[in-house]
Amino acid sequence: MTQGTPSSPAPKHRTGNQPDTQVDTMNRRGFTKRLAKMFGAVFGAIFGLPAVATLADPVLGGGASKWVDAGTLAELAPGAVKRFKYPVQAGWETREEAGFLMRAETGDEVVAFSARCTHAGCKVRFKDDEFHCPCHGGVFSRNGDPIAGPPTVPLVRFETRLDQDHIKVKA
Amino acid sequence: MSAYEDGAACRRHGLVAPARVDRWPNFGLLALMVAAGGLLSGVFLSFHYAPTMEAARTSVLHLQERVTGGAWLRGLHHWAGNFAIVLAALHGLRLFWHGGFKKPRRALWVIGCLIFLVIVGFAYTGYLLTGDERAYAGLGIMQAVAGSTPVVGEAAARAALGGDAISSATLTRLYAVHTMVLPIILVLLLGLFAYFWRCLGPARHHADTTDEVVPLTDYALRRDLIAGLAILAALVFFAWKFPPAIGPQADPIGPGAPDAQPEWFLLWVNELLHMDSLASIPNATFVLAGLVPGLLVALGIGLPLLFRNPERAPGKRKPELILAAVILLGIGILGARAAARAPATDAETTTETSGGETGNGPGDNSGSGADSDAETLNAAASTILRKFKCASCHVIDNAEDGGDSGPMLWRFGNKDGIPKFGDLYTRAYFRAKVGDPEKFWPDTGMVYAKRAGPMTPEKLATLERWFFDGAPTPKSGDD
Ligand code: FES
Repeated sequence: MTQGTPSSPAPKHRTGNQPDTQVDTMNRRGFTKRLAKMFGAVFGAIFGLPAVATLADPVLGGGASKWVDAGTLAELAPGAVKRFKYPVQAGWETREEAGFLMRAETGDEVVAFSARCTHAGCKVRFKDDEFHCPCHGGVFSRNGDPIAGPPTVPLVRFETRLDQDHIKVKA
Repeated sequence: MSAYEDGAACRRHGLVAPARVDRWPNFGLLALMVAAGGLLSGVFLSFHYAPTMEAARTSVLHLQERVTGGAWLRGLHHWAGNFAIVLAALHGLRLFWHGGFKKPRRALWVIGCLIFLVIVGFAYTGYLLTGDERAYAGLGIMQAVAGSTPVVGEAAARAALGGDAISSATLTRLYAVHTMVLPIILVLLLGLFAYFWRCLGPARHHADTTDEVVPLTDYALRRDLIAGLAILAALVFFAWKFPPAIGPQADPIGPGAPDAQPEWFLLWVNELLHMDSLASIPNATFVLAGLVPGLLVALGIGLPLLFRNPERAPGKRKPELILAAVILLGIGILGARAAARAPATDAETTTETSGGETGNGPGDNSGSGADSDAETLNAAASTILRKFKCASCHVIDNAEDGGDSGPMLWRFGNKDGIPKFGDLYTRAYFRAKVGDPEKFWPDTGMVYAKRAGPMTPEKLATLERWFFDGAPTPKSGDD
């Protein structure tokens, strides 16, 4: 086989049933290009839209809080602090997260805190009448106010109400 | 040899193709396109899937029913996989017809066969991942077939399962194969394919022996793009009209799936395993489900070595064509037989002929005519119950098997406290609930098998008659 010269490209070989004029070739090229673009757009839409929708779903949905039962008032002595659990719907699972209930020294008032430290999200523990964070030494008072270490924001409070004798928390 | 086939034209002009275009689109290109769609949708599906026995089905169901776009994504993925198999097979058949597996395309044929195997591997590992009873049955067969391998059977089964039983380890390794191993192999094979394809271009029609080439960009690309758009439309239609089903949660110690057919491309192997006449072969499981498919694969890959004559015209290749026809016909017949046995199909015909309301109550039952009426009613009801997969959740009328996530539905109760159906439900409640369970009381989660089709008034009437007015069989006539 001999090499063709660079200046004699394919058209020499284009025979067969298509007419072979320069203009016609240009038109067909243009049409093919437009078709290829259209195909790309359709393909991208068909697979891209559900992909984006499913990725966005957990971002846009969720965040809903519900009233949950956190036990009876009788189980929580005045001034006492105790854990409670609340369900969180996440993906295909219902997970449990923990929080704290704190009953005022006098009266029926109950405060509910998230157990997440407001510094960087570790779970706080209740010890010696304070909430201690294991991660960077943050300390919160029994009212949830930051009193030592890096946290500057109080523990997140949940809305609460009493239903008969039952403590309800909007978590 | 032509300039086209020895690659000289390619070196002169870049990618080339035969100037004579035949009337079919390039199925290989179309298969590549849907495979790309499968990979793309798979990436996003993997965000929503957990490969454990506990969570697999729940995560798929969650995606399909709760996540916006999830049903679409799964439907497209499912059908892209199936379309890829069909298109790749069509491509292979067309190449075979035109002798496209012969010199100088032998390497391409072998690589193409391997790509086809990978595509089937995707579909196979994919259908085993859903965590429902059908997938569990498929995993059981995988375990049995691997275990039947001579000498290394036990090791093979453990390797397949990742332990001694079907477990989350099994799902995790299948998932790894499905999402890591197979895509990597596919990409490598496609790269190799592209390397050999570069200067050969698309295979030509067997009668095309000329030297004529055109640049590849012109070659039939428009036709392939238009065909591609049509395939995409079909893909959307299938994903919309025939969403992939998901059955009841796999329960290793439960009664199992009422009908556990594998994916369609495995039906022919399943049919071999079903045939009584073959069961007496020594180590039948291995021979039928391992050796036979393995030999066919080897035969397919080895085709270029087996048939070396350079002739490409089909008329001059009788032995090749006869061999292929016999094999394909055999596989087709086996597959068709298996499909014909699937319950969904036979229920359709029986129900339509015998499901009509004839209006006879229990008081009309007398003599032999009543017996045959009762039999007709029993048959009609049981096909409906089977088709709608009621036994996935209910134990119906003292049956041997049935699920336990729904209440027991015993027409005549029993002495140990299971109440009679008629005492539990009123007819009005029955009609509303069974007529449209998802609308009437969605919280119960009662749904019909997707393939069952609508619960027509005729079917509802048949069921009502069977549940409320059916007569007990003579032996248990204590009611
Ligand atoms: S996370 Fe609690 S102190 Fe840093």
